[in-house]
Amino acid sequence: MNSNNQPVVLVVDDIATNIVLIKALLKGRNCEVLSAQSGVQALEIAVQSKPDLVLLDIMMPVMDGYEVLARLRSDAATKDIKVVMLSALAKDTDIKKATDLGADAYLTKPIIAPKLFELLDKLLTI
Amino acid sequence: MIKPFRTIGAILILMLTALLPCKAQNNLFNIDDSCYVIYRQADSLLDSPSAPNLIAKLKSQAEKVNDDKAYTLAYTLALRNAVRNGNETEILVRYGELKEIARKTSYMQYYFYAYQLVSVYYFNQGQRTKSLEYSIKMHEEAVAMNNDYGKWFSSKYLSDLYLAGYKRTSARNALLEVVDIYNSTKDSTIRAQSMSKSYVNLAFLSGYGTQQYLDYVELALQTSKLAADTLLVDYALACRAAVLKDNENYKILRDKCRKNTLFPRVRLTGPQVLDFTDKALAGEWAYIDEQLGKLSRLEDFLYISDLAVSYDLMWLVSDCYDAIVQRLAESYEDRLNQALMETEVMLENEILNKQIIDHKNKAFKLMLVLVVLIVVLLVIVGIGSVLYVKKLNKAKKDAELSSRMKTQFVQNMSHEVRNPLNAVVGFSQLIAYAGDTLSEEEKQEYISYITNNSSMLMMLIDDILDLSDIDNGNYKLYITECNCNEICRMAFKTVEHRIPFGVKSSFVSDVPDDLTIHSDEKRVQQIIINFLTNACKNTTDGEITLRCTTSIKDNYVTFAVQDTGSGVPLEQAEAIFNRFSKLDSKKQGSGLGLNICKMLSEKLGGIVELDKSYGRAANASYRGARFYFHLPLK
Repeated sequence: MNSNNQPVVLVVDDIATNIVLIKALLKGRNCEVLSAQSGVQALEIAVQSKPDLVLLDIMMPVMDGYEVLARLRSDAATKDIKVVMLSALAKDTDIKKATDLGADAYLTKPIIAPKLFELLDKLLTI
Repeated sequence: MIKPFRTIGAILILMLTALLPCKAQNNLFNIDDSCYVIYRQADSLLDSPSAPNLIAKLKSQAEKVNDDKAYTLAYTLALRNAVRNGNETEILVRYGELKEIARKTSYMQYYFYAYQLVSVYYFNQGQRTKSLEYSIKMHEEAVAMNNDYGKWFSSKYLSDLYLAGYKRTSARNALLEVVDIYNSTKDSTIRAQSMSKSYVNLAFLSGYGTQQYLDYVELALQTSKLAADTLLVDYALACRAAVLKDNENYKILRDKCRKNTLFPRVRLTGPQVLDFTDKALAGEWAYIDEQLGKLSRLEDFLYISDLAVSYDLMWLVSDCYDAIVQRLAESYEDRLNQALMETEVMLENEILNKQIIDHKNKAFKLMLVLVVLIVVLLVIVGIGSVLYVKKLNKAKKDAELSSRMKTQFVQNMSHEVRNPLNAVVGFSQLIAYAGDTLSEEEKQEYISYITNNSSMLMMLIDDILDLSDIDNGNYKLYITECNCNEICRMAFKTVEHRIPFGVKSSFVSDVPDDLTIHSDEKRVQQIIINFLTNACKNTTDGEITLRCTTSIKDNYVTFAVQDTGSGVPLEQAEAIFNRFSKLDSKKQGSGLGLNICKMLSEKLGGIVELDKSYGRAANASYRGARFYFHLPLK
């Protein structure tokens, strides 16, 4: 939660358009949206800002979403952050891998707005 | 056929045994008595099934009592037994064994005896040439060894063979050699032998009425050792008396011979000759003439001839010589036939041997060819197998690689499709759900996202279709006059919205604004767009530059796209243009873009390449990649 008692959502995606889209979708929702365009940047923000939930893309250069998730779960400071994978990968094996690493939910692109809102309501009790 | 010496073997054996010194009355060979008993048994049972056992027993006993002579005699029995059985192969084996043993035991008389037995065997088989060969060989060996006994024995035997073959001169010479050796040798064994037969034969060959005849008969008497010798002398004298018409003396000597039971054995044809003589004395010459054919020995013909001369019966003399000539002719015919037969056999053997050798050679060659073929086949099969296995492995690896690449491609496609689709769907939902609350600016911004991402989707679909067309040969080019700078500007504008935040971008041209080329404008632009898109994906800060120049490659216009992104490892400089090839599998991109650039440039007659030197200098203040697309100016 931020100082305004709003849940903080961190959007991680290497494609800027996707970040713009998420921010636009969450505009008007009672939450603060942060963003990161790489895995490394996401981990830094996660440690510093302690978001309540991370919307995490998987296919990113240098450090992919799986590794970011694993690091979040292995760090005591970030291990309890809710993580929703938001990926273009839609195979069962991808979903299972993310679940095994500790993801709370898995959404595939393209994003269906009602599904995203429902999930955020559930996880953040917004 | 003349069969004068059918029993020559038996006579010679008797002669041999008689010639050997005695120890006791019943032990002619002066060997151990226990051996002698076995010898006699075996000798009497030759040609019977028990003979080999008895011969083996004699060998064993001779070894036991250490009697070399008895041991050697056992081998003479073995050879004689083989001769009786008539198996030529066995005869020659036993002949070789006897010679070897005789040499070892130094009982050389049996060494020469071996020759004689084989010669007699061939003589009785009608193979006179071969028989003579063995006897001559025996004589030659004896001479070579300077063995008096061998020389004496072989000459004596040769004289018999010559007489049987009507070779008067050769027989006489052989007999004279027998006499010479006898007179000159110090060999007690020879000196102990009787010379009566040899002298009598010499007498027969000298003419029955001559003084020389008488001299030889006298010598025969002097050198006689046995009763048989004096009997032979009596017979010779009887013949001479008849020729000299001394009938009374003839009758006395004739009766003396006839009364002696040994007479037929001492002189086989003697009784018949005496019968002829009686007929002659009775004047029955016609009977003699008719019966001349019954005579077989040269000496007997000569005798009847001399007898006829005494009675002036020249026609009978003529008939005798006719008979001799006829016999000689028959003998020669026999020998000729024999020689012919032997020659034929020899030729047949040679032909057979040649055929065998030919067949062997052919078989060997065939085998060799087969072996070579098999080896070649094995090598081919081996190499083929290895190549086939290699090919299979390569095909398997290729298939695996292809499968992996296709999997990767599908995964990439999913990513490449879903991301633009995400923007299209997402911003469409925003407009749909919150259209009322959105400002006009926001709406326009979102619509532009939708438009751009729709374009990206279209481009992706176009890429896939383009590649498919190129692969299938359906790709068509539309060549027109194209302005180089204009192409660049259009391409730059197309990707402008994809340039990442914070990354500068620029288009620089070194060429006149009116520079044109003959090419497919759309495809040239597509290659440059792909280069630029690639740069956008790999550059997070710094700058992306598109440059149009003619200074890099002579006679070519070059479109160069350089960035300050992650760069391309040198070892990937070529592979980066392969289909589905991506430096980082997690990065956006289908892995088709650079491959399409390569394929298209080839179609356009251009070249695409990575500038391998760019960004690799040790002191370089930048990193990144620079791609060139060269197109011929004209």
